[in-house]
Amino acid sequence: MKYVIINNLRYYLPRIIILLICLFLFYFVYHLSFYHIHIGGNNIYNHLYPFESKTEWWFYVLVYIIIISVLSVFVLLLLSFYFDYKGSRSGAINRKYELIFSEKIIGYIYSDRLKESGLTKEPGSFLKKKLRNKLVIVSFFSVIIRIQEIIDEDLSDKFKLLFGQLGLEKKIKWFLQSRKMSEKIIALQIISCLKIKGYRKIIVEYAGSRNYVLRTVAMSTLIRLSKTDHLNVMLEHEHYISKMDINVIINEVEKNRKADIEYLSLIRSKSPRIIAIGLLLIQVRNKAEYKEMIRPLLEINDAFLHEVAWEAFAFFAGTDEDLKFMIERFDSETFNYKKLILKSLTSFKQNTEISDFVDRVIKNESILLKIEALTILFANNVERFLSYKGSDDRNIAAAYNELVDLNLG
Amino acid sequence: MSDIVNYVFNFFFLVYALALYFSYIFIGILSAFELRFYENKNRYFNYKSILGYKKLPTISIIAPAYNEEKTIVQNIRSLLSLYYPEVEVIIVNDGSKDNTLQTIIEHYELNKVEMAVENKVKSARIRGIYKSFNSAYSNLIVLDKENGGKADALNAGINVSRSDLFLTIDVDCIIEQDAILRMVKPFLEEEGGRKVIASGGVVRIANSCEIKDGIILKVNYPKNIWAKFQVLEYFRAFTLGRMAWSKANGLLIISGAFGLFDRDIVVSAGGYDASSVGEDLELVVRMRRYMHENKINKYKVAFIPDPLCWTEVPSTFKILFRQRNRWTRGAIDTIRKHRKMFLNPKYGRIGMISFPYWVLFEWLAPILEFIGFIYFIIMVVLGRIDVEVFLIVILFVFSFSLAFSTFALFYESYIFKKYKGYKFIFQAIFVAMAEMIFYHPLNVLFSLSGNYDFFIKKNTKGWGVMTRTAFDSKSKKP
Repeated sequence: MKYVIINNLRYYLPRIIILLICLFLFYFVYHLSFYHIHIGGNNIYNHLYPFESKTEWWFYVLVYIIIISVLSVFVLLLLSFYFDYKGSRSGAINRKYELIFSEKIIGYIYSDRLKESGLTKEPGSFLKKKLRNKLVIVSFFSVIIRIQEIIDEDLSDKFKLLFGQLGLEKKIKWFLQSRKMSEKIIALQIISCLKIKGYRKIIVEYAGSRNYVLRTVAMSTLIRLSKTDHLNVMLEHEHYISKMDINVIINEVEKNRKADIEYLSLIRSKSPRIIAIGLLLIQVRNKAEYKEMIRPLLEINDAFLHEVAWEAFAFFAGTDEDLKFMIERFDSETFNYKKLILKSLTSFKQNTEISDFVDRVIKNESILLKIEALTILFANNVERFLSYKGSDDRNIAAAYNELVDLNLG
Repeated sequence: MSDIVNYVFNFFFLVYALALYFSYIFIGILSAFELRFYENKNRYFNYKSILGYKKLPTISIIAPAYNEEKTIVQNIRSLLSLYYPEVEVIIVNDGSKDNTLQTIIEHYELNKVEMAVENKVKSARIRGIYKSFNSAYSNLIVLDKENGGKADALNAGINVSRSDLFLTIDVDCIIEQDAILRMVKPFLEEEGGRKVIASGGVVRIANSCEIKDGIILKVNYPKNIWAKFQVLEYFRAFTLGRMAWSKANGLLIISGAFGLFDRDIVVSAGGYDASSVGEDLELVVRMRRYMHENKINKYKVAFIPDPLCWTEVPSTFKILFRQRNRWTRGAIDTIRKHRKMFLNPKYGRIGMISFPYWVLFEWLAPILEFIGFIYFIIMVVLGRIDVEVFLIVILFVFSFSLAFSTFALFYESYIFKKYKGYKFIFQAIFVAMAEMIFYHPLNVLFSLSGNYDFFIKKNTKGWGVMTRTAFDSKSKKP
């Protein structure tokens, strides 16, 4: 509660001050229209009154805007100088501390091995002295996150121990409840990196937030933290799942080797985007046992899902039945999916059915699909490929020449 | 009678000025919100993580080149070094009269190849396509075509591209290495479930910067006075103007020097209009028109405020005059071609807000300013000017404009921090004051000349000559 109050105070106070200044100025300009100005019980004569009494209402509006503009120029200039100074200072501080922290943390991670050679001491007391302001703490968090991203080993327990020594848990909570989105994000990243339990409620809240950026980071944090929750439970919210979310989720699942995934419930979801996640995971994890579930998904009317479903189907396709299905569906698909089908045919064992189909594509389809079809022949049936040399059809000739030029030089 | 005329004129200019200044206030507020949101959301985002994503769109970089032999090798090297997993670089030699093509062929070990090209959008004849068999340059394609202008060259590049998205750049620009990663992010984020059809980036001024091997080593405030004026102008236009329009999803222009587009939508909309000298503005307006006419209303044109593209701007009066004259003609041409959209509710906020704004405050503003000036002179001659009121109004205009420029300057120091030091801030603020007295009236003049050329001389297509020098050769330490 304390954090929320202080954070709100920090957020609202400057805004209230600015509003009060504007209101005061308005009050001041308004009083210019009177002969007397009463301030603190004193009567002050307005020497501009003889001039103002002849002017119209809009004069006061102009004066008000002029005062606000001039004040803004001064205030913005001062702030520009301040941020320019702060920027160069914080840049230098960041660089300095990132170096120090990297060195100390790497030393700490490998302390068992380094201790043997007498190369390192406990970093706790040293770091504690340094971690006194927000800028340095954020820099410390960033270094921790970067190191965990680079090193494949799970370092969360070691980092948790270090955070305990340094008393940084409170800071994480502080950042997590901050009004600033950037601070919430870094808190989520560090929670995810350290696999800290205990913030689940607030993270779930963020994962369903209207703010799409926060939602993405919170979802990725949940995936990393959760051992038991199934992906579809985390994704069943009212908000749109973007391509960014999908990429982040797939990466997070892969990075954490998350095993407890219910593929079936993902691909049975009502949301096309959740189905797409399921299909991508099936593909990435090579779960061929779900292959039969893919074909019906091609009928769902959603462009992104259709693309992912075709990719997944083409990825697992290998039987004669699959081949037959793809050839049958070819004509009813649009360019991108036709291209996908053709690309997948390269890996099939060549037979007359494929050859006839490829010939049909070469004769009837657009030039880019002719190239894809000729590529199949180039890879599997050179004799048939060569039969298209010197074709009378300008497009077939161009497609043939491209393949020869680009592949044979 | 003269009193009525006087009243009508006064009232008209008052209403127009009020609308203009309110629009500036609105732009300031919207851009402040959007910049803050952008800065907060990306502060701790690791752009390189995008490189590991499983579902990414493929991208072609299309760079038209005309008489660029001095800089082309270094510029291509810079483009080849941009971070992105699946990217091809398409250089379009638009019938250069110098040795541009030969220089590229020799340096990048290119061979003429046959490539099948689908002519989905109109362009001049392609004379040859070149590729390198050196694996280091395997993603480089060079087109040699007959001269047809920048838009025509871009169309040729679109025809050759087989990617989902294409990035258009001026080949002589310097691009930050993570620029594509930043530009592609909105396409992945699909904010509000909206399909992103294009994203634009900020163009910054490279005059006087220290540059080596296609990388900006140090950003310096230009020494040339024309370039100094333009730095401020670009701050306001990109940081405030375009950011605000992006927030309102009403952005009508993506700079021709740097923009990422959905290839399918561009092709469906008909590609670049080679008859226009404002092809960048015209394309975005046409893409939006296409989306509305096909009832695909859930879409967005995004904008990235990070300084990602650096370009040399005109540093002489003559070249600046030509450039601004061309911009004006391009704007008029686009407005005329798409006048159907003006105040047409069928086109949503584009028809009702963005397009009318462009007509009223981008195209007509200099004309009305000139008429207002003439009116003012007549009133002075007739002795009908109240000097005190005049001084107050002038003070209002100057203080407001200065505050607006300072606001843009503040965001540079607060977020982007490319220009550093108190000296820059002092210089910039003095330039902002001088701008109102010297540079702004000249801009009005340039714009009037553009209108004159378009309507009276019927010059709708001429580009004029832009001379540039190699970046490295002139980028000595200040």
